[in-house]
Amino acid sequence: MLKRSEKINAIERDFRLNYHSVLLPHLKRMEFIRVILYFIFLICALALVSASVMLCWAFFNSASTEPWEYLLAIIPLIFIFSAHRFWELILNIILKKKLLNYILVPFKTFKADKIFDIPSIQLKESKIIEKYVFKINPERIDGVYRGVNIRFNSALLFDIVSTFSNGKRRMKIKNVFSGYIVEMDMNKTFSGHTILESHLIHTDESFLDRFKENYYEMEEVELEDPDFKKHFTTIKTTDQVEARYLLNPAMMEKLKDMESAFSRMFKLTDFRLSFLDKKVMIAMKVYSANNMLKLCSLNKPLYKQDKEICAFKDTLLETIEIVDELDLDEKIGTY
Amino acid sequence: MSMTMIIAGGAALLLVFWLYSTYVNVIKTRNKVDEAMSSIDVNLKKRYNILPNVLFLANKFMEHERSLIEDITKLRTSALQLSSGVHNVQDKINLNNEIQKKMNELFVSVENYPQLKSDNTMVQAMKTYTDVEEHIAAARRFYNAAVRDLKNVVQIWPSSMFAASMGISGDIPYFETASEVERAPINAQNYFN
Repeated sequence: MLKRSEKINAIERDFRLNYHSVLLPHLKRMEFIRVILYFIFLICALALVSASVMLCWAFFNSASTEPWEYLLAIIPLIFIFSAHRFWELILNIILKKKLLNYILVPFKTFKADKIFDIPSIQLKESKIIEKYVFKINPERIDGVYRGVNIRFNSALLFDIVSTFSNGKRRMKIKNVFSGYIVEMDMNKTFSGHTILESHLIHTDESFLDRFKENYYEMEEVELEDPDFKKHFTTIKTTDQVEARYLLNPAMMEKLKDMESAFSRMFKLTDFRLSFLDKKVMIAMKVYSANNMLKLCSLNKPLYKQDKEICAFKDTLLETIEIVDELDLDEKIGTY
Repeated sequence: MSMTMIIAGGAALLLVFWLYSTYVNVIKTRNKVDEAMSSIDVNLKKRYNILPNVLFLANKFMEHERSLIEDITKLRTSALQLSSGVHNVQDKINLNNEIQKKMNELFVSVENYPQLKSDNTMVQAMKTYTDVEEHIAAARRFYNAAVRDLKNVVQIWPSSMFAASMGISGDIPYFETASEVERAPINAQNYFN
């Protein structure tokens, strides 16, 4: 693990102080909301279990029931998980609305933003996102760290695909990306374009698909660290020297740590970075049900959820540490 | 046309394609070394362009380091006289190492001049110099990777066959900067005293 900068340590210290002095009293006050939502969830769960039991009873009493039909009785039970996720999501929406700005106090300039938008052109140019037609940005946090603008966006991207079934052409909406996109505006301008990809889980969408237009412009980068190659399976660039300038040994260690930390914390399927012009873009693809910027769980009292809130803070810290690693605030080195 | 003819024709076509792709690979690898060398040249040029600014500032304050400044100036002049390309890599490596060593000495000496150390222009110049150094290090890594690939091509059959017939030699040195001081084992004790 690399040594953290003094600024990051200060945020960490302030966060701990802020948690006990400001956040904890708020969490205690808001505990009743969690209790109400948990109670509603329990009612839903009870209703679903009852439905399952009733179905079982109905099948049992029916003379013509096949053994496999008993499996249908399990369906209501599956919805219990969905109900849990739904009420947890509601709890997180309420908590974020009330508490997010208190949580972000140690981050100084960071705040929850009301304008949900990721610039589409930059997103497409970065080539770390699949082709998409429309997007939804449910939440966004932005702020400035060492003079670098940082924006965390949660995003759902959709594409319209055509399928053929029974000789008919049908249009279907396909979710191509769900996860988080971090944008960083730098004081440095990169002359080339460098992309890193960590295919944690193989997806049917191939890397080549996104590079059809100018695949030959980008070359594979062979780095000295074989361990880095295990973490990032694809490293492509239009400028070999610049790619190595960006991926210096310290940065490689940082990215490996970051990728491991995020994979451990969340169910990532893909982790991608793009360095282009004045922007660093990070795309973290997660399972749609997994909320990366989740604050609290529905099951535990809010005032006992310090670990969950710390995980939220760590997500932000791990990402903004890239600014330290690359000295993105420095205006020098722009060629 | 008999089946044998078709198979033989297909095999011949495959052989031609394989030979051509091996040939292309050899040429590409050799050109990559040239490209990598030119990126080193570009970055070294940037360093030589920055040096006068750093030396000018240092010269104003550092009375006791005049000989060191003069040495760096001489080295810079000799480095600028070297032509670009791969043919004089060893000279470039030697001069580069010498300049780097002297510059490190200069930056260590800056510590003894608090006025210079706190001078904004000097701080900025040092930062720019460090950034250029990082670019040189990146270019060096690219060059070394290209040289490694060329050495593989020249030494491993069948590409070695083409390389030999085209007179391509893998006898190009790696761009290593480690001076004797840098190579010496680090004594952690020194950092805790």
